[in-house]
Amino acid sequence: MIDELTWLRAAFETVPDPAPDVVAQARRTVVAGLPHEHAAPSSNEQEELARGVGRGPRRLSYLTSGLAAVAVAVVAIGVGVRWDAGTRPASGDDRSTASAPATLSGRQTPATLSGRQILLAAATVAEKAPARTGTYWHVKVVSTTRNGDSGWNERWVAWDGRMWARESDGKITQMQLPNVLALGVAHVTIGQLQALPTQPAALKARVADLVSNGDAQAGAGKLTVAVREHAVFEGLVSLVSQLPASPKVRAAALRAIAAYPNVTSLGAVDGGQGLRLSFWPGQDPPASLVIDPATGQLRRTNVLVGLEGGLLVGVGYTWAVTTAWTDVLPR
Amino acid sequence: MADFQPHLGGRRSSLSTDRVGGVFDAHYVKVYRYLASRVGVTSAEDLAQDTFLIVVANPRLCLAVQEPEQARPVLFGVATRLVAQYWRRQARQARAMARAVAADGSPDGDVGGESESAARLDAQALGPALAEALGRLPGRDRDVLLLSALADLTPAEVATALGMHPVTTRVRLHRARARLRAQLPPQADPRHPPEDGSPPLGQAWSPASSTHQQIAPTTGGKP
Repeated sequence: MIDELTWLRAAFETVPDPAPDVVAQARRTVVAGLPHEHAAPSSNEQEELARGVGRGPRRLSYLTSGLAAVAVAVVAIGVGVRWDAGTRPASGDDRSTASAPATLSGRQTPATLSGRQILLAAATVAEKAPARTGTYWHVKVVSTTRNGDSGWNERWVAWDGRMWARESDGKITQMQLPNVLALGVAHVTIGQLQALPTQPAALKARVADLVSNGDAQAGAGKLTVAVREHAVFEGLVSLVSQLPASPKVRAAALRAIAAYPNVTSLGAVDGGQGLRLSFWPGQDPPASLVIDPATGQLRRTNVLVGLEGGLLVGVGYTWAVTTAWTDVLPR
Repeated sequence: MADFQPHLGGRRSSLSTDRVGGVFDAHYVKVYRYLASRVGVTSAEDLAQDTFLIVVANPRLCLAVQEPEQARPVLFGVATRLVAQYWRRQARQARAMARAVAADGSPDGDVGGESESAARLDAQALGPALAEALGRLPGRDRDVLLLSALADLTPAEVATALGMHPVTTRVRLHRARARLRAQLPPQADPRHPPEDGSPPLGQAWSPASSTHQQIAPTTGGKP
């Protein structure tokens, strides 16, 4: 048995130190004394924030700009582009307005979104994203433990099914398995993924069809109904995590997932909107996912549907996922 | 205080570069980790830098942080205000998204107040059980408790940081500790989280095993 302060302090020990480059960049910015109207909150805000410190009790009115609040901190994880700390708006305002959904007006609504609302909002954003393709589909997965240790791996998938991998050691190797992408338990090609239906019901039916008739069950015997249902759900989640689906297909997958009863909201969290999914109620720690409302893509998760299929459950660590088309295969 | 300039035009502080560097080096990591525990590591990068920029740009705070016994209350006071501001912004983001959904004609709604929603999310980095327990505390009590336990401020320093009377601070700290103690899980010991060192990645597919594999042991794992 421990006391409450020990509990707090022990938990605090697991919070990681800042990375050296973060410290160095912050130090440069602070010491350089950048014009603070570019590097820190507005002077009004600063006054408000500074006022109460070291003086008597005082009520702070937190001045924040209206729409700037949308999607704060959303783009920071996994987008592959690191804002230069010396030039970025430190409070994230510009980033957030840039990625704010276009339809921000209307009546007062509750502060907390349900899981379904988050997914539907993400779908609205996702389907407006421009459809892009390239020679290779690039997926990077970074894993981070609670202690801040991290590792990563990358995959490049060509349209013909060839796949390359690069692990933390930096070596790129071509994988021997052909046709390794999996949707649920069904092997699929990039072409098949791009041609999936863009309506939620039709998409779900097609995924179910692929799961039932795909060639992936070889050696697995006949799939039970429950396993098939899990595989369909997993397939839908994989469409928003690592697979090269088109924006409209991704939107349809988000809408289909929104119709499941086992999706609940964790609200706004570091990196976006948090969701909790229970894949196998009573058996596993529930899955916590962070959906980026700016793109509708999965950003951070403690469950991952691998590119080659298979549900991975991370206990004590999370994954950050980045995906993009590219024409270049690094050597 | 020979270098104190009352009218700085907002560009340079009254601290020399050396002193800014000294204050930064002495406190940055601690401020960062405090913020990371409350808003997550991604946002902590921004807020920690903002904390120092705000102090550097404010003549009165600048003067204060040159006194060794003042630096920590000032820095953590600003940081704590940034935390409150951060959660307000997050709540607005959620409302804006709710409006976007409503504009799409989807009638669906959980009701939750702004402060309640922010309280629930504060301190997630400390683990779900602790975050939940802390989320049940009034916001000010949570600030007092975390500044004491994580930032190691004395009650007097907490009072300075939050602009409160020292007696009020002690009362709140006492109350917050009692409430947290009442929620201690029987075997809570986050010093030994159930995890392995380097997680394997993406190679666990097995069609025969109902597509599911659990990588790390779950013993003691609190969802």
